[in-house]
Amino acid sequence: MASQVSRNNPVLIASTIETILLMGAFIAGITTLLNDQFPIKEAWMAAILSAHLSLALLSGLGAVLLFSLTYLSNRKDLFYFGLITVIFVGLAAAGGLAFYATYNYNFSYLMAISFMIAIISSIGALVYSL
Amino acid sequence: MMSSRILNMYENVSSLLSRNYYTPALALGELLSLIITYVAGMGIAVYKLPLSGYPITAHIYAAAIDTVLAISLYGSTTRSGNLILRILAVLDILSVLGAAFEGLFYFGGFSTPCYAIGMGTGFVFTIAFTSALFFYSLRR
Repeated sequence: MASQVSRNNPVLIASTIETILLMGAFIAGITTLLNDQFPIKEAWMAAILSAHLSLALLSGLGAVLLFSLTYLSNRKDLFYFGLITVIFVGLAAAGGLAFYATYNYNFSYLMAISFMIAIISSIGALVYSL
Repeated sequence: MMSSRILNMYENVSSLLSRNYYTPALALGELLSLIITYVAGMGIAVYKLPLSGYPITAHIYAAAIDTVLAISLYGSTTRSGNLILRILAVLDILSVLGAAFEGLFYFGGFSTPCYAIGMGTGFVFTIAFTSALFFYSLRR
Protein backbone atom coordinates (compact mmCIF):
# COMPACT_ATOMS: atom_id res chain seq x y z
CA MET A 1 0.00 0.00 0.00
CA ALA A 2 2.12 2.91 -1.28
CA SER A 3 1.72 6.31 0.28
CA GLN A 4 -0.22 8.84 -1.75
CA VAL A 5 1.94 11.79 -0.63
CA SER A 6 4.91 12.72 -2.83
CA ARG A 7 8.48 12.96 -1.57
CA ASN A 8 9.42 16.02 0.47
CA ASN A 9 13.05 16.59 -0.49
CA PRO A 10 14.01 19.39 1.96
CA VAL A 11 12.77 17.43 4.96
CA LEU A 12 14.41 14.26 3.62
CA ILE A 13 17.79 15.98 3.31
CA ALA A 14 17.51 17.80 6.65
CA SER A 15 16.43 14.70 8.55
CA THR A 16 19.21 12.59 6.99
CA ILE A 17 21.84 15.15 7.98
CA GLU A 18 20.28 15.50 11.44
CA THR A 19 20.31 11.73 11.99
CA ILE A 20 23.97 11.49 10.99
CA LEU A 21 24.90 14.42 13.24
CA LEU A 22 23.01 12.93 16.16
CA MET A 23 24.74 9.57 15.70
CA GLY A 24 28.13 11.31 15.64
CA ALA A 25 27.27 13.40 18.69
CA PHE A 26 26.23 10.25 20.55
CA ILE A 27 29.40 8.32 19.77
CA ALA A 28 31.52 11.33 20.74
CA GLY A 29 29.41 11.63 23.87
CA ILE A 30 29.95 8.09 25.07
CA THR A 31 33.64 8.42 24.24
CA THR A 32 33.60 11.48 26.51
CA LEU A 33 31.70 9.55 29.17
CA LEU A 34 34.14 6.65 29.17
CA ASN A 35 37.42 8.54 28.80
CA ASP A 36 37.05 12.01 30.29
CA GLN A 37 37.37 12.98 33.91
CA PHE A 38 35.66 16.18 35.00
CA PRO A 39 36.94 18.83 35.62
CA ILE A 40 39.01 18.55 32.44
CA LYS A 41 42.73 18.76 33.09
CA GLU A 42 44.28 17.00 30.05
CA ALA A 43 44.44 18.30 26.48
CA TRP A 44 43.24 15.04 24.90
CA MET A 45 40.21 14.99 27.19
CA ALA A 46 39.38 18.50 26.02
CA ALA A 47 39.69 17.36 22.41
CA ILE A 48 37.18 14.52 22.92
CA LEU A 49 34.76 16.88 24.68
CA SER A 50 35.18 19.45 21.89
CA ALA A 51 34.24 16.84 19.29
CA HIS A 52 31.09 16.06 21.24
CA LEU A 53 30.22 19.73 21.70
CA SER A 54 30.77 20.52 18.02
CA LEU A 55 28.55 17.70 16.79
CA ALA A 56 25.94 18.43 19.46
CA LEU A 57 25.81 22.09 18.48
CA LEU A 58 25.41 21.19 14.82
CA SER A 59 22.68 18.71 15.82
CA GLY A 60 20.89 21.48 17.69
CA LEU A 61 20.98 23.83 14.71
CA GLY A 62 20.02 20.97 12.40
CA ALA A 63 17.02 20.17 14.60
CA VAL A 64 15.80 23.77 14.40
CA LEU A 65 16.23 23.67 10.62
CA LEU A 66 14.40 20.35 10.46
CA PHE A 67 11.55 21.76 12.51
CA SER A 68 11.25 24.81 10.23
CA LEU A 69 11.18 22.61 7.14
CA THR A 70 8.62 20.23 8.63
CA TYR A 71 6.45 23.23 9.55
CA LEU A 72 6.70 24.53 6.00
CA SER A 73 5.88 21.09 4.59
CA ASN A 74 2.23 21.58 5.68
CA ARG A 75 2.12 17.92 6.71
CA LYS A 76 0.95 17.04 10.18
CA ASP A 77 2.98 13.83 10.51
CA LEU A 78 6.27 15.49 9.51
CA PHE A 79 5.49 18.46 11.75
CA TYR A 80 5.11 16.29 14.84
CA PHE A 81 8.34 14.41 14.09
CA GLY A 82 10.21 17.71 13.65
CA LEU A 83 8.68 19.16 16.80
CA ILE A 84 9.59 16.16 18.96
CA THR A 85 13.13 16.14 17.54
CA VAL A 86 13.77 19.79 18.30
CA ILE A 87 12.23 19.62 21.79
CA PHE A 88 14.31 16.64 22.85
CA VAL A 89 17.55 17.88 21.28
CA GLY A 90 16.98 21.11 23.20
CA LEU A 91 16.39 19.12 26.38
CA ALA A 92 19.61 17.19 25.80
CA ALA A 93 21.51 20.43 25.22
CA ALA A 94 20.11 21.87 28.45
CA GLY A 95 21.13 18.71 30.26
CA GLY A 96 24.61 18.96 28.83
CA LEU A 97 25.08 22.56 29.91
CA ALA A 98 23.70 21.78 33.35
CA PHE A 99 26.03 18.80 33.68
CA TYR A 100 29.04 20.88 32.74
CA ALA A 101 28.09 23.42 35.42
CA THR A 102 27.23 21.03 38.24
CA TYR A 103 28.80 17.60 37.43
CA ASN A 104 25.49 16.07 38.52
CA TYR A 105 25.07 12.65 36.84
CA ASN A 106 21.31 13.08 36.54
CA PHE A 107 21.88 15.68 33.81
CA SER A 108 24.16 13.26 32.03
CA TYR A 109 21.37 10.67 32.12
CA LEU A 110 18.92 13.30 30.85
CA MET A 111 21.21 13.87 27.86
CA ALA A 112 21.24 10.14 27.13
CA ILE A 113 17.47 9.62 27.30
CA SER A 114 16.49 12.75 25.37
CA PHE A 115 19.02 11.90 22.65
CA MET A 116 17.37 8.54 22.10
CA ILE A 117 13.90 10.04 21.68
CA ALA A 118 15.31 12.74 19.38
CA ILE A 119 17.02 10.26 17.06
CA ILE A 120 13.97 7.99 16.78
CA SER A 121 11.90 11.05 15.90
CA SER A 122 14.48 12.26 13.38
CA ILE A 123 14.42 8.87 11.63
CA GLY A 124 10.64 9.06 11.63
CA ALA A 125 10.85 12.38 9.79
CA LEU A 126 13.33 10.79 7.37
CA VAL A 127 11.14 7.79 6.53
CA TYR A 128 7.89 9.75 6.36
CA SER A 129 9.41 12.26 3.93
CA LEU A 130 10.35 9.49 1.48
CA MET B 1 -21.18 1.62 23.41
CA MET B 2 -17.74 2.01 24.95
CA SER B 3 -16.81 -1.58 24.23
CA SER B 4 -17.39 -1.18 20.49
CA ARG B 5 -15.15 1.90 20.51
CA ILE B 6 -12.42 -0.07 22.21
CA LEU B 7 -12.97 -2.89 19.74
CA ASN B 8 -12.60 -0.41 16.87
CA MET B 9 -9.39 0.94 18.40
CA TYR B 10 -8.05 -2.59 18.75
CA GLU B 11 -8.97 -3.40 15.16
CA ASN B 12 -7.25 -0.26 13.85
CA VAL B 13 -4.06 -0.87 15.81
CA SER B 14 -3.85 -4.56 15.03
CA SER B 15 -4.51 -4.07 11.30
CA LEU B 16 -1.81 -1.39 11.29
CA LEU B 17 0.75 -3.54 13.10
CA SER B 18 0.10 -6.68 11.07
CA ARG B 19 1.18 -5.20 7.75
CA ASN B 20 4.08 -6.74 5.86
CA TYR B 21 3.75 -10.00 7.79
CA TYR B 22 3.78 -8.35 11.21
CA THR B 23 6.99 -6.40 10.56
CA PRO B 24 5.68 -3.24 12.38
CA ALA B 25 4.74 -5.27 15.45
CA LEU B 26 8.14 -6.97 15.59
CA ALA B 27 9.95 -3.69 14.95
CA LEU B 28 7.96 -1.99 17.72
CA GLY B 29 8.82 -4.85 20.05
CA GLU B 30 12.48 -4.55 19.19
CA LEU B 31 12.35 -0.78 19.60
CA LEU B 32 10.90 -1.16 23.11
CA SER B 33 13.49 -3.80 23.96
CA LEU B 34 16.26 -1.54 22.65
CA ILE B 35 14.95 1.29 24.82
CA ILE B 36 15.13 -0.94 27.90
CA THR B 37 18.63 -2.10 26.90
CA TYR B 38 19.70 1.53 26.50
CA VAL B 39 18.09 2.87 29.69
CA ALA B 40 19.70 0.12 31.78
CA GLY B 41 23.04 0.32 29.99
CA MET B 42 23.35 4.10 30.17
CA GLY B 43 22.31 3.98 33.82
CA ILE B 44 25.24 1.65 34.50
CA ALA B 45 27.64 3.85 32.52
CA VAL B 46 26.52 7.25 33.81
CA TYR B 47 26.11 6.35 37.47
CA LYS B 48 29.11 3.98 37.41
CA LEU B 49 27.04 1.12 38.78
CA PRO B 50 28.59 -2.29 39.47
CA LEU B 51 27.93 -5.05 36.92
CA SER B 52 25.53 -6.89 39.21
CA GLY B 53 21.86 -6.82 40.19
CA TYR B 54 18.86 -5.41 38.35
CA PRO B 55 20.51 -2.98 35.88
CA ILE B 56 22.92 -5.45 34.28
CA THR B 57 20.33 -8.25 34.30
CA ALA B 58 17.74 -6.05 32.59
CA HIS B 59 20.39 -4.92 30.12
CA ILE B 60 21.53 -8.45 29.22
CA TYR B 61 18.04 -9.94 28.89
CA ALA B 62 16.77 -6.99 26.83
CA ALA B 63 19.84 -7.27 24.61
CA ALA B 64 19.17 -10.98 24.08
CA ILE B 65 15.57 -10.21 23.14
CA ASP B 66 16.92 -7.58 20.70
CA THR B 67 18.91 -10.21 18.80
CA VAL B 68 16.00 -12.65 18.70
CA LEU B 69 13.64 -9.97 17.38
CA ALA B 70 16.20 -8.74 14.86
CA ILE B 71 16.46 -12.23 13.40
CA SER B 72 12.69 -12.61 13.38
CA LEU B 73 12.45 -9.26 11.57
CA TYR B 74 14.63 -10.73 8.86
CA GLY B 75 12.10 -13.50 8.56
CA SER B 76 9.06 -11.25 8.36
CA THR B 77 10.66 -8.80 5.92
CA THR B 78 11.79 -11.64 3.65
CA ARG B 79 8.24 -13.00 3.66
CA SER B 80 6.83 -9.58 2.86
CA GLY B 81 8.90 -9.44 -0.34
CA ASN B 82 9.93 -5.81 0.19
CA LEU B 83 13.64 -5.55 -0.64
CA ILE B 84 14.27 -2.32 1.27
CA LEU B 85 12.76 -3.79 4.42
CA ARG B 86 14.86 -6.90 3.96
CA ILE B 87 18.09 -4.90 3.59
CA LEU B 88 17.22 -2.85 6.69
CA ALA B 89 16.64 -6.08 8.59
CA VAL B 90 20.03 -7.52 7.57
CA LEU B 91 21.78 -4.31 8.61
CA ASP B 92 19.85 -4.43 11.86
CA ILE B 93 21.05 -7.97 12.60
CA LEU B 94 24.66 -6.97 11.87
CA SER B 95 24.45 -3.93 14.16
CA VAL B 96 22.87 -5.87 17.02
CA LEU B 97 25.38 -8.68 16.72
CA GLY B 98 28.25 -6.18 16.62
CA ALA B 99 27.01 -4.50 19.77
CA ALA B 100 26.36 -7.83 21.48
CA PHE B 101 29.81 -9.23 20.80
CA GLU B 102 31.50 -6.00 21.90
CA GLY B 103 29.45 -6.19 25.07
CA LEU B 104 30.42 -9.80 25.63
CA PHE B 105 34.08 -8.85 25.37
CA TYR B 106 33.56 -6.01 27.85
CA PHE B 107 31.61 -8.18 30.26
CA GLY B 108 34.04 -11.05 29.88
CA GLY B 109 36.94 -9.06 31.25
CA PHE B 110 38.36 -6.77 28.54
CA SER B 111 37.13 -3.77 30.53
CA THR B 112 38.61 -1.12 28.25
CA PRO B 113 36.45 1.74 26.95
CA CYS B 114 36.77 0.73 23.29
CA TYR B 115 34.39 -2.22 23.76
CA ALA B 116 31.86 -0.09 25.59
CA ILE B 117 32.11 2.45 22.76
CA GLY B 118 31.59 -0.48 20.38
CA MET B 119 28.34 -1.33 22.18
CA GLY B 120 27.20 2.26 21.85
CA THR B 121 28.08 2.43 18.16
CA GLY B 122 26.22 -0.81 17.46
CA PHE B 123 23.26 0.48 19.44
CA VAL B 124 23.01 3.77 17.55
CA PHE B 125 23.03 1.94 14.21
CA THR B 126 20.49 -0.62 15.33
CA ILE B 127 18.17 2.08 16.66
CA ALA B 128 18.45 3.78 13.27
CA PHE B 129 17.65 0.61 11.34
CA THR B 130 14.91 -0.62 13.66
CA SER B 131 13.16 2.78 13.70
CA ALA B 132 13.47 2.92 9.91
CA LEU B 133 12.01 -0.60 9.71
CA PHE B 134 9.12 0.36 11.97
CA PHE B 135 8.23 3.58 10.19
CA TYR B 136 8.83 2.26 6.67
CA SER B 137 6.76 -0.88 7.21
CA LEU B 138 3.90 1.35 8.39
CA ARG B 139 4.16 3.54 5.30
CA ARG B 140 4.31 0.86 2.59
